[in-house]
Amino acid sequence: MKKAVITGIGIISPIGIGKDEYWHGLLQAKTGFRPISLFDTSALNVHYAGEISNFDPIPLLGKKGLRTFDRSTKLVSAAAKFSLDDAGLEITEDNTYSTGVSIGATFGSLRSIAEFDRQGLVEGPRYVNPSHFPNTVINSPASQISIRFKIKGFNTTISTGFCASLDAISYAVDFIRLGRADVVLAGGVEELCEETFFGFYKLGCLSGLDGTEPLCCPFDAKRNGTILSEGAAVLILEEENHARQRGSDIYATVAGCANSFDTKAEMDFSHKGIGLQQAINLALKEAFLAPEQIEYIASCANSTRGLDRLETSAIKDVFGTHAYDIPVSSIKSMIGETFSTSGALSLAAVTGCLQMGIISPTVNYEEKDPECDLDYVPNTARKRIIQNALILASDPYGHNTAMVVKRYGG
Amino acid sequence: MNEILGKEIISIVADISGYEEEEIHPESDLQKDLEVDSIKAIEIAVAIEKKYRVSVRDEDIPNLITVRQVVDLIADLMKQKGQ
Repeated sequence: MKKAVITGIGIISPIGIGKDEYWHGLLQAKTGFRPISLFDTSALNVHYAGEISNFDPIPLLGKKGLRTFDRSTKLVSAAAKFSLDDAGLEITEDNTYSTGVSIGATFGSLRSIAEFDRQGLVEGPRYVNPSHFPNTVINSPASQISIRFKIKGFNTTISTGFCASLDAISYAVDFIRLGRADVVLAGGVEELCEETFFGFYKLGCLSGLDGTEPLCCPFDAKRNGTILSEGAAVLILEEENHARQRGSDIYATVAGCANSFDTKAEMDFSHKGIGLQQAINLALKEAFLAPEQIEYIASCANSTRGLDRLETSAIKDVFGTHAYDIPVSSIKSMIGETFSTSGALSLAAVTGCLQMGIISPTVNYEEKDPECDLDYVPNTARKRIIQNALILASDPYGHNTAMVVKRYGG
Repeated sequence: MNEILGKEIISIVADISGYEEEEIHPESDLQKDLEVDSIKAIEIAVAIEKKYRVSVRDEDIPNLITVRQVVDLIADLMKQKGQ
């Protein structure tokens, strides 16, 4: 079967723009939380988020064509440009039909829908701006990537919440393995907006609801919610021989991906994480690896009580005593919860870890929770050469995704 | 062509087309010179309707080839309204 490898990485995140700044930020344990400037939070108790305040797409993409893009589309288009440049890939008439786009996005159009409706209600239906209408559908960011970079192969959007970008990458891997595409731009995007923020605020998922300073501290005993964030991550997935023939640098191989839906999860994380266990087992099987061969787990823990406990429990059930020997860390401690982007950001982080032999830490970790008792790489990065890593994503609505990534040539 | 109205409409067309005002002339072809596609044409019409409180008929929009034709049409509509 054909192999899918990673040859390019494009990142727009609260801790760094571009692959190198992002990797550096993770290893320096940099956090990306700052006061929200995109909308007014004066009536709320929480005023912090992972806002990308220094994001200007014009130097990267040019001014033309950006005017009607919403924030999600600008973020993901910039990430796509970074990824193409990083892979040294140019879309031409010869490769355009064998190149595809697969993007995870879930809440991205909420802001545009609200704005479109607001304009229609306030000014009257005759005065709505027709060029803002395309932004109201969730597949708009992915479509604009294809339009901007003249990519004529398949174009897909996957909306599975916290799992969306890992699912989109998994979908890309399938296309490459089946010979239906040579190259896929795959990843995810979420923008920070008041509609999403208010929704999660009212659901009680955010840290700092009691007026204390918000803290994103996955696995820590005092964790009391997550910090919302935004970002885009696009990776170039490529068929191995295609990449070699181009003479491209190859970062890593995606060796296994699997999903499972937990029907017991209804707006809360199930205690046992049966769905996540199932996804991990299937991904390991697809990668032809035994549990003992996994040397690092990129966690999806986001500092909510349920998710961090569920993930720890699922890891212990799958890996047994070996679970205590595997470093497990969560980049969300530095970046926050980016929903649909989180899996792709994790994959980009793991790729850096495989390349540099350094594991990114879980920051803000101070107080041990008896239910979360694994090695969470607390507060500082750790040197470790790794061959095989596992990436996890799980959400409170039942989606679970696991992906196995191998060091190239390893 | 009404010069003040012309300048205002060129400013709207510049904003929506992405071209600089200095690049836009009364004889500029909206589609060929300024890349105004069908959605941008409706956007320009909506912006003009909002600013001048006139109503541009949908069937007139495809017949507007140049900037001058847009300005003349709006001048006519304003005249009909007694503005």
